[in-house]
Amino acid sequence: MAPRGMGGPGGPRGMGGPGGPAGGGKRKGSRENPNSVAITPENAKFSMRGGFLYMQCPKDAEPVRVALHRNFPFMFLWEYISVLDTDNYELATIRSVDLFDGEEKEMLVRELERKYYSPVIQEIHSVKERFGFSYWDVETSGGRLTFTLQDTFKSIVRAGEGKLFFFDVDGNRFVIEDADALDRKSRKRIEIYL
Amino acid sequence: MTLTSKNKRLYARAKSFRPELAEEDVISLWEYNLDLELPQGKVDGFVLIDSKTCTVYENEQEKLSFALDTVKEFKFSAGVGCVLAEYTTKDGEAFLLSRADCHHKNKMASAIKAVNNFMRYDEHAFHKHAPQELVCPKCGRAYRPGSETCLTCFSKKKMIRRLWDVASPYKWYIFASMAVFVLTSFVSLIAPKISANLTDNYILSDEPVIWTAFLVVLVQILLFQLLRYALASFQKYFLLLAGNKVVHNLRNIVFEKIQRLSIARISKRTAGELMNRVSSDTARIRMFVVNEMSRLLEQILLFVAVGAVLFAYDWRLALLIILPMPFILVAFSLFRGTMGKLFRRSWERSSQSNTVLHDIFSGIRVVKSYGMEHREATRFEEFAAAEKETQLKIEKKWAYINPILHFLMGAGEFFLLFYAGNAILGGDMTFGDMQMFSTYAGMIYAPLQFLAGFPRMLMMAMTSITKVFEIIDEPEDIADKKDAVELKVEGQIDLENVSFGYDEAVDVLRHIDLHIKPGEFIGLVGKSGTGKSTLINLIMRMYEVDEGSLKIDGVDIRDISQQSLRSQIGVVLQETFLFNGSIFQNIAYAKPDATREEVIKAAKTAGAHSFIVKLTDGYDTWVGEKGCTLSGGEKQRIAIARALLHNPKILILDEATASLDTETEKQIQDSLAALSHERTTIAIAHRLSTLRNATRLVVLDRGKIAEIGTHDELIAKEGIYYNLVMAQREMSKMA
Repeated sequence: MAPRGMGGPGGPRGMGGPGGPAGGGKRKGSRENPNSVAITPENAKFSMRGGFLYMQCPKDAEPVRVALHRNFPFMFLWEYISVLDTDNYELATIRSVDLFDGEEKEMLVRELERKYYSPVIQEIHSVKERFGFSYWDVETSGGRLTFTLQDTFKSIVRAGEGKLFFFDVDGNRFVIEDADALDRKSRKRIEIYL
Repeated sequence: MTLTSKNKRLYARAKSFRPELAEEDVISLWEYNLDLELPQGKVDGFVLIDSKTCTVYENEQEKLSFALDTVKEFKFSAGVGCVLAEYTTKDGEAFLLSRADCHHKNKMASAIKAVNNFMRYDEHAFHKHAPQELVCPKCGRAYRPGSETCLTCFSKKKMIRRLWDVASPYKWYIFASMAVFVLTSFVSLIAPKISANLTDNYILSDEPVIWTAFLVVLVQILLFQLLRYALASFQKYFLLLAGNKVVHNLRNIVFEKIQRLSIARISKRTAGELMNRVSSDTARIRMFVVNEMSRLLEQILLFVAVGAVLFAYDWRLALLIILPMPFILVAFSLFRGTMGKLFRRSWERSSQSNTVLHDIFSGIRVVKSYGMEHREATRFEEFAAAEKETQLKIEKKWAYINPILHFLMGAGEFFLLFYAGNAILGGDMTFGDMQMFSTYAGMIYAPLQFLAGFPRMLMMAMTSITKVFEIIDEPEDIADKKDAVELKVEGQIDLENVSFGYDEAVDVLRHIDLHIKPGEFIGLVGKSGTGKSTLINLIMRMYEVDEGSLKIDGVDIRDISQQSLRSQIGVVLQETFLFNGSIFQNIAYAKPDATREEVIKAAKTAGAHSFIVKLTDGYDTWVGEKGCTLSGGEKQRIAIARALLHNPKILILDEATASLDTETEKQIQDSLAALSHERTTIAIAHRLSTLRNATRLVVLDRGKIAEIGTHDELIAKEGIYYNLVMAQREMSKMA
């Protein structure tokens, strides 16, 4: 079955970012960059300044502040990456961060992890449902926390075998890497929503 | 100056580091909880800005401090699942400042707005900008965005009471049906007594039978039966009447409410989902009101009455009969939770497959033109299968639970047989009495059986009731003020320092100052996503401005009644929609009392008349769903005629002529221009030739007004507009 809500209608709401809320969809310019290149360690260099990532492409060019953007944030976390300038204009693409190594790869990974924050749910302590909202108490990679889903069924998106994304009312994301690998109690708690 | 409770706590925290800090010194203050260097790492920090410095405290230590006058601006940006704050120094260098999860989004965004406003306008408005944090006083959970009802503390009882509010205008029907029921119960209670009399005194009697008396008893039984049926049908009649009226009422309430909701709220839901709420959910509620809720009251009544009779006859026997009841009640409450979730899932599944169906049928042309019929059939099958599976699961569970409950309920009869059998053998009871008891026991268990099924019905109904009231309770974010004025619009529009974003974090429009005189023709130009449509959405008051003021003829738009405002604005959007009806009805939509002459005049101005008269049925031509018999350009012209018909004082054209050929467009432009002195026109167009009649052009770039002036002025300026014009000329040369 095709993953629910991926690009199609009825996808999760309140995700923020590009696409944004209803009615505000066309926020980004529609210009395509004909010169957007696929970059490798041969034709580009990355560095950090003030906490931001800068790119030089070609290597002797002036450093430009850039942001990384996952093209397939559900399925490919380290591949198909767009390098955008501060106007969200695509300057270049990275096929895979694995093309880089050492300090540069570390920079790219850290930049992506800093932009995409989705704690991994390891255990579900409780789920309480009240009138269309569900209140979750979970153990995550970032410690125990609680969050609220509105319209639970639509806020949980399947992204491939066993992988689930949760979109809470505030716009936070949580992920379960493999629902089948959860402990029995947790699985039972989530089973009903799948 | 008052701080919100959350800010007060934060302020107290800041004060522990800076004891001399006074409340009014705080320009901005926000908390954050994520590490900048270790992306998964948690920290506990806050940023404090006073009029001189910005200081960052992290994990109870001062981490960073810098003078505010070195900063050009602070910036808020949204990551994915997190938010970031940064600042740019006056020499153009950018630095990351803090990072937090999205729970902090609104607070951080408005805190940053506050500091920027302070630096830009010397406006000290942190307290004003701090978003009100509303917390449920009972459970301490924050209210959901836009809501002021705590969903956790929301009770079922309250829901039923709300439903009763809707039903109460018809309460006399309901009371009448209950009164009839009381009579029915009374009759039902007497019947076994007569039967017992029949058995003991006639059938099992050793005395010779007096035939006339025997016949009288038989006739009595017959009459009571007839009376019972007659009463039952009266009762049903009253209930159906009440139920249908209640649902009719509820449907209207839901429908009207949906109509009143703002575009922002409506577009959160699909058309299919809204249809479900109006039709299916309300139908489910009718079932509940007509069949279940009233029966519940009856059954409780019956239960009490039969119970009283049983206890009056023989309390020991009565106790034996009700012995299994506690077990049954425990069993009910055990199964209720699971069943509720299953029903939710079933509802969700059926809504999903309905949505898929709606989706496929709406896009049937695309499906067919790509030859994807088979794939769509499979997709639908998958959803239907999922629905079936859930349904099956429910039935299976129910199949387990039901026999257990029935067995428990049957247990009472065994006790009865045992006790009564002994009593008859001992000569303490007659056979007729036992028969009577057995009938009463059956009668007391009938309500129990109903009650066993009631949680299921209640759950199903509750789901629908919640969903319906969710719509009814949805706050109207754009509501008329009590003293909203009816304004006769002249067409002057003034935007002063207007900022707006679809969510609090990102401004789509920033500090817009624009003054439009009555009768002006304003062309809005700019790349996609620069805020052009947003600007006209604000003028139509589809959304409320976040900052600054928007005035129509000098009156704040929030003080004008929406009905009066919109009835004087004509809008043609790129996407047109024609309702099922004739062309005449479609043009006359905004002015149902329009004369034929008026409609023809509007159609002529819109360049629609010429093609309409070529149609066999002229203005009576039926334009079906989506007006599929007409071309895009023709539909567009009908929409323009519709907008012109009520002679609006403000006309908004959002890419209205984009799907027309240049010649037709020119024709419409000219006729519009001829009438333009009568109204203010605001037009958005990518094809710049469309705007050649404009008195002024406003160029938007990244949410700000970049250029403003006449065509010639802007060409002379050689800025953004000049570049756009040149690019389009290049294009047309190529073509």
